[in-house]
Amino acid sequence: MGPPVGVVGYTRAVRALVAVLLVSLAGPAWPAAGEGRRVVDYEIDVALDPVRHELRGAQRVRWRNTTGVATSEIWLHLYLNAFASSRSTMMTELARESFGRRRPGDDGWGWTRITRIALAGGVDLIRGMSFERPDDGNPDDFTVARVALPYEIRPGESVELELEFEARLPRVVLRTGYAGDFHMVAQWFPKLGVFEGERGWNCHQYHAASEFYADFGSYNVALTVPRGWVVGATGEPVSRQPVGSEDRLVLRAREVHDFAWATAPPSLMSVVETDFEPGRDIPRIWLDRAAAALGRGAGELELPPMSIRLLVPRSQEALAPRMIRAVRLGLAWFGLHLGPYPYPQLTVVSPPPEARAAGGMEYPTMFTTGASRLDAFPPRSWRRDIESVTVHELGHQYFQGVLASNEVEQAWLDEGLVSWAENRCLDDIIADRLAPEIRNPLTWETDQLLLSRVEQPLVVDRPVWEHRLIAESYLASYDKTALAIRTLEGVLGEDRLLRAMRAYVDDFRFRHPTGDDLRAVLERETGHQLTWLFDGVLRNGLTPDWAVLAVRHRRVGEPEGMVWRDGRWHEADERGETGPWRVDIELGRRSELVGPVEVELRWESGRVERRTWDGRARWVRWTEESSERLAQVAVDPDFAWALESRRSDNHWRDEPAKTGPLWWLGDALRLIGLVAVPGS
Amino acid sequence: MTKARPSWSFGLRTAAELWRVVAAVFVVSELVFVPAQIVLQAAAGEALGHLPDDGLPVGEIALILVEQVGPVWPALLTAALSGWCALWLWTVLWHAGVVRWLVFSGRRDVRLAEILSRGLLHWWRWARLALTSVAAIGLGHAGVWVGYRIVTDRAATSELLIGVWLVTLAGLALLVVLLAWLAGLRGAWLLGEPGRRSAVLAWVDGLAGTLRQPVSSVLTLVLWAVPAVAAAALPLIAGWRLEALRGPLAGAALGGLAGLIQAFCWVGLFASFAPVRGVGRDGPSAQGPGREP
Ligand SMILES: [Zn+2]
Repeated sequence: MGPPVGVVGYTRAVRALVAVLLVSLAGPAWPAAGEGRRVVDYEIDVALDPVRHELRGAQRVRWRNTTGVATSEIWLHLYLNAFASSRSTMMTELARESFGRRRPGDDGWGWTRITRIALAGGVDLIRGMSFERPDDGNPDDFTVARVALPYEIRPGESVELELEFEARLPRVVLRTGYAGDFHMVAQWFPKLGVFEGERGWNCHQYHAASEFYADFGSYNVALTVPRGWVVGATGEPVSRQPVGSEDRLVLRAREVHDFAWATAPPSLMSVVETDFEPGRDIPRIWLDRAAAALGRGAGELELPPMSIRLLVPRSQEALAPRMIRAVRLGLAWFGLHLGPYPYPQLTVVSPPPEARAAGGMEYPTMFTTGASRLDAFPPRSWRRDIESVTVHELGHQYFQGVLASNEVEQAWLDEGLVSWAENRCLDDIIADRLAPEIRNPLTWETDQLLLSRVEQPLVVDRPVWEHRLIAESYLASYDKTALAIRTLEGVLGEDRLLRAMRAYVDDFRFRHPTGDDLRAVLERETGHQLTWLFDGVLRNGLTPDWAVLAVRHRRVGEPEGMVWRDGRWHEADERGETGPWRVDIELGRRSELVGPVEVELRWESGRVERRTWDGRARWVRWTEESSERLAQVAVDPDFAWALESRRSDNHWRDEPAKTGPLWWLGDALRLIGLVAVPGS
Repeated sequence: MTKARPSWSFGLRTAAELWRVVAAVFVVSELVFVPAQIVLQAAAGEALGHLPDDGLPVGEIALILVEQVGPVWPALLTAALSGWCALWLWTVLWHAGVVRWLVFSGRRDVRLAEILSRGLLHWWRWARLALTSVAAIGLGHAGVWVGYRIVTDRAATSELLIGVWLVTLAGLALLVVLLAWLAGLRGAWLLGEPGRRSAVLAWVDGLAGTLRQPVSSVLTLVLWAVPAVAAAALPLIAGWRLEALRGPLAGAALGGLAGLIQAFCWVGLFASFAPVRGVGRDGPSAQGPGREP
């Protein structure tokens, strides 16, 4: 049996809702909301019981049918029910892998239930509500509900629903929940799926590896929390007033597709209010470089100032400056390359260590990062985790926040592009010494190393729950896609790809781009067919693999044996040990993936030749005649094919080195061996 | 219990006299890591030989290494670890042998076979001593780690203060190694005294002796260990600065020389802590030849 559904009194909630409505009517809208893309508006009034970790909320939703097809039902996500039992689809998927450790524990299960749902006019809909399991048919999963409407909502029409709900937050195992007094309230309210016309409602169950997908709209939310508790939330704060022993905060967000918040007592978390000031925070060298790369004037790349709010555990206060620096650098990098961040504020929450599983997650105008107290001290301070996570989640403000692709069906579209941008930004931060603490300069190599451990072809473009392992779905969506884009950069040039990416962002701001949309923009902007990338790498799991198969030298000289002359065979005069060299260079393509690759020929005299092999055939033989021997051959000498799976066969030398790059190993082993001596 | 101070010059003379042991230490230290090198050479040698001399980024080399070595990493790890273990076992062996030989043979001729067989016979007793050292280092470092956690817990203190603390802790970690090492060196000789059985007690007495004579103990250790470590680091630094010194010939010559210096230093260091003077040219043994129990 699922969570029971019933009807309860709701006068308090309705009074609260009226207050929210009044607030939402007052004050100017920001930013100027594009009406066409505003599909769903929420007004929510919710109170947190911090002892029982429960929410009680009233919610008014206005949904507009912007498709060309009528519908007489509404589908809703009840995400918190994924944490209701060990049999939910998410928990089953988590338990299948080593992630099975992640269970909320005895008193830590979370759930939600709708206690009332009605049309704004008053027609009760609760009897027409049922649970749906569109992905796996699991009868123990209660994360999707369908509500039958008494009439059709035709194209252009809208419907207004009134809901009341109760929820208990889980102990944090994934993204949302509580740990002690810290509450990360995410995926917490009954949230509409996306109506896609002929395709119906796109409303997937909550999977272990999946994130979210929703329409844009406005959120007016009133939160009731214990007096004095700090709050970090999506949107702009409108007011904060004491009500009894509690505080009531009103927040407003426009043109977003989700709303999350975090709260904790001030003894646990402190708040740092600061800002992004373009004149101060944009590195001059980045501005110049971005202007050159994008072919735009520096004036065109101007960014607006904005406010930053950081919630950080008191134990991590020493890290706050580093986090803020990372946020500012991220805002500068993304702003310059992909366009200005479109909201006036950004909230960053660093969860306390017990709530680590809530870290590293993106929400509109807000994200959670992750750190440990020990990151303030060597040797941990030498790692780049703070910058990586912060820049990554900030990147989601673009790829997911503003370009709201479907994270369930095409997670790679946001995770992969963000991982690519994260590495690019980190490369710049490290190269320009803007975070001098960092001692680990490896960015792409980390992805390559991770990916090198997967043996079978890893298909990227598939719904998250169709990957065999959660770890593989992550490797595909994050690392492999990032390397695929990096490869595109290597093959087509960094500036050209950056321009194409900027065009993609400009074209699909506040829309829901798909993989096909990305392909269309990239092909249009680069002027290249990208079959190898989209069909080969992303849909068929291919990875490139080039090789120097062999190189052979022969003297051209005179022929040996018999020579045909004057109508008969003559004995050849000379033995062929002189004359120029004839060199066979055999290159191979070991993978199904076809693509052009650069080849570098280095001759004895030091002369260097570059050629391009189109890579269409499985192998090719180039025969050269030369007075000198060929000294070295390298396929892909610039490492453009970042995605290549086997790189050791890309090089050939006429005289193999006697001391390879491992000349130091024997001596190093001997030095390490010394450690044995003090022990005896 | 002896009050004799460690003597660097005695160590030097003894190491010269024990040149056969020095040679054995040298040969074994060269041999123990050969299997690891063979595994690596077999897995990656061919591919690495074809890489260009310059222009390859570190990350690229690392990837190629992982690619080549990845499939054989269990073998490589086993080879490296067993090399390390063999070195440890061997060090215990010749320590035991040298002590037994010096304490019980007076000024008799140096015979390698005799030293080694004596070492083998009493190996387990000296191994217990060595294990005590290892345990002490482990315990001491656990204590330093706790100290690190305590310092980092007080995250609000000034950066300078934290810096001072961290340097202090690093110094403490080094001190733990030094003390355990010295206690082991002295303990090894005490363990040779007639009637001694308990390795742990010998180690504790060694520690007490070290604490009674801290300056001469540390000074002797430093005088031997610094040239040994410098010799070990020499081929690395030389090859890193000068490409010509990486070649198989130059590299092996340099490595061999470094290995010899090291072996001499380790034998000299060990002998410096001998409380008996039986083998020196400066007269008869302080205690005279003992009798095998
Ligand atoms: Zn992400």
